[in-house]
Amino acid sequence: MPLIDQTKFVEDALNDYHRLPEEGDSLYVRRFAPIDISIEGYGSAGPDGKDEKVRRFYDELHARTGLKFDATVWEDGWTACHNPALSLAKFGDEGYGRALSGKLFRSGEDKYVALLHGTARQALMIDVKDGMAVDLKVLFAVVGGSLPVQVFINLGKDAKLNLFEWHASNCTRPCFSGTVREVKLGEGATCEISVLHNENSNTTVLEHTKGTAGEGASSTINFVYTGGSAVRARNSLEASGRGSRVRVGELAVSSKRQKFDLNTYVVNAAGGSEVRLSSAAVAMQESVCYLKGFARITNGSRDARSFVEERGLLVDGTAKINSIPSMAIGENAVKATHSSAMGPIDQDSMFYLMSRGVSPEAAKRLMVLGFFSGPISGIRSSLVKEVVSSVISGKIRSNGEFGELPVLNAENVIWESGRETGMEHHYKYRTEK
Amino acid sequence: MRLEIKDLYASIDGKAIINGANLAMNEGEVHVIMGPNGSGKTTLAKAVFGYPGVKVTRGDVLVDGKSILGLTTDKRAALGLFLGFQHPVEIEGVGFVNFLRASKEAVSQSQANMKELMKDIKSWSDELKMDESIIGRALNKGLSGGEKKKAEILQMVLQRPKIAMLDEPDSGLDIDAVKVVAENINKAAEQTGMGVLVITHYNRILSHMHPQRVHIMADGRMVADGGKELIDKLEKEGYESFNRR
Repeated sequence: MPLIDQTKFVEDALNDYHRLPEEGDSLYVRRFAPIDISIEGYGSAGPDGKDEKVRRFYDELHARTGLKFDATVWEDGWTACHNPALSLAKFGDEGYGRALSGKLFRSGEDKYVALLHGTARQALMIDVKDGMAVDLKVLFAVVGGSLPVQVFINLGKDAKLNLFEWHASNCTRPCFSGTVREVKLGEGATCEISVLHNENSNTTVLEHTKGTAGEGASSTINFVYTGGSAVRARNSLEASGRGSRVRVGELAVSSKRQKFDLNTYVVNAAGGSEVRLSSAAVAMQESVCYLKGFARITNGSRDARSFVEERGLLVDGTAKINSIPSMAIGENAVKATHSSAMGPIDQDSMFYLMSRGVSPEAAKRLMVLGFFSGPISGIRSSLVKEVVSSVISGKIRSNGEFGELPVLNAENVIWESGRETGMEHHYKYRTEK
Repeated sequence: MRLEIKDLYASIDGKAIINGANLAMNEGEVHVIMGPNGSGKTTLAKAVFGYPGVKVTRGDVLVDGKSILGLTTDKRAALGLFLGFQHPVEIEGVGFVNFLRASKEAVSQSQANMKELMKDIKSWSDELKMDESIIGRALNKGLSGGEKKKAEILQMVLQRPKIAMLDEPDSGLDIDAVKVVAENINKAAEQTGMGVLVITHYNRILSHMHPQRVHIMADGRMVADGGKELIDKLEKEGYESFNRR
């Protein structure tokens, strides 16, 4: 007896993508980083040895970080997991999604979503029943060839979910790591979903999340982009129920000619709802990062609150960050702000740090971690804070290399909410190992 | 360590600020540079530390007889030089302890013992009568002018330099705080044997210190050098009497 009606689940999600609103936005159309992805290699990664590759990859990740995952998903399957909230739908070789995607291709809408749906052979289902609380860590490992996967997350009334997704790749030839994620929160449900993309330079990252929050529900989604030769993210989150809250955090560190095109669409669709989108990007080494945060307050959403904040830090003179925050407000009695602040690393701050003997490289690392301290402190999960700060620190430490598995907490930092100690939004060192 | 500033000329955006400054001091000595606003005191300190906006056009800065002008700022600090800033920079998100650890490790070239470091921070914070909450803050963020100056002294004592240049360590401090800061500079100097070069407008802080040499600076160069008697002369006659020379 399946836990959920998988067929209906997938079909509903596919149909919903016909209504992606941002595709019609003129800014979205004009301002984007063109990404040309190749799917030639898809599905021909070699018949044998992928299970072994995944196992080795998992072992290496575990050895370096000490992390254990509840599930590992790769191109041809997943590890056994006994958590009743998790299940995996297989589409078969021809692809259940592939057949359904024909209409998406014909529609002329988002071809990348269609690509993902069309090539996905499996979907991860996370179904948290009413009143249940679930804590999950899932590794998405790209080891042999492209990994397109669908993730459907459904939270019942007053359910709670803490989900950490680590998307990693050690693929040795061009491939893509693609996720279509559907998040539905029932009345009063709460979730924190943190998605870390740390793929290697052979991998193009495609990230598509669509979410809704029911009455009184609270959703926090953190996207952390550090890896992949190119990242194309199209996320659409809606506070659909009265008094619901949606918080989206985006952290991006681009280097070595990486191209990040991050588009997030947040919507207040009910009275008293709150939406907060905070994007922070650090760019260096001829990389390009687009931050496009679109907020919309629908007519009738009285007392809605919407905040869009985009910040950028340029580590050198060769990188670019394009920040395009935008708002469309269809209701009078609301509170809404948007802001954008971009700039280079402050030379006086560099001089100050270096006057204390700190090398230019270490000074930049300190300032980058400092730049992200607010968003990282905003992540509730201590584990995710440590992983994210370690990955970012590792990337700066290794002069912009990405896709490497980090040594967890190499900086020996404890991140904490600090509300009890007066250290809110800051971090401190471990005094003991 | 011996620090020598030899016939130094420096400019900012093409405008000459330092015009042939000379000074020599050894570890263990206390020197003072006094001068009116715009005389080039701060620019001189920045030139010694290699501030990117200050261009040295002539002359040299030597440590133990070797020029340091080719070194980056961090390498100059690693030799044992310390600069206490007139206006310490606030850096969002960089934790104070995080920063102290990084600087201590950079200068000592070894991994910091966090227990020892935290103990030292606590002990010196008490001596400086600093609010302990500074430890949990971002670097200099939200500190009053006086707290920032105390934080500079705290950094100095933890870093244990051989020669510390302190640019107006007394500005922004009330009378009691000036005394606390001066006493802690003296204490650190006694404990570590470091040399101290105090840059100031006023003799207020000097009433709590015992400088061996006093240098009066005007128009980018030293116009008088001597002992403590120069401070008394300044007090009576003002900077004008030195400008007329």
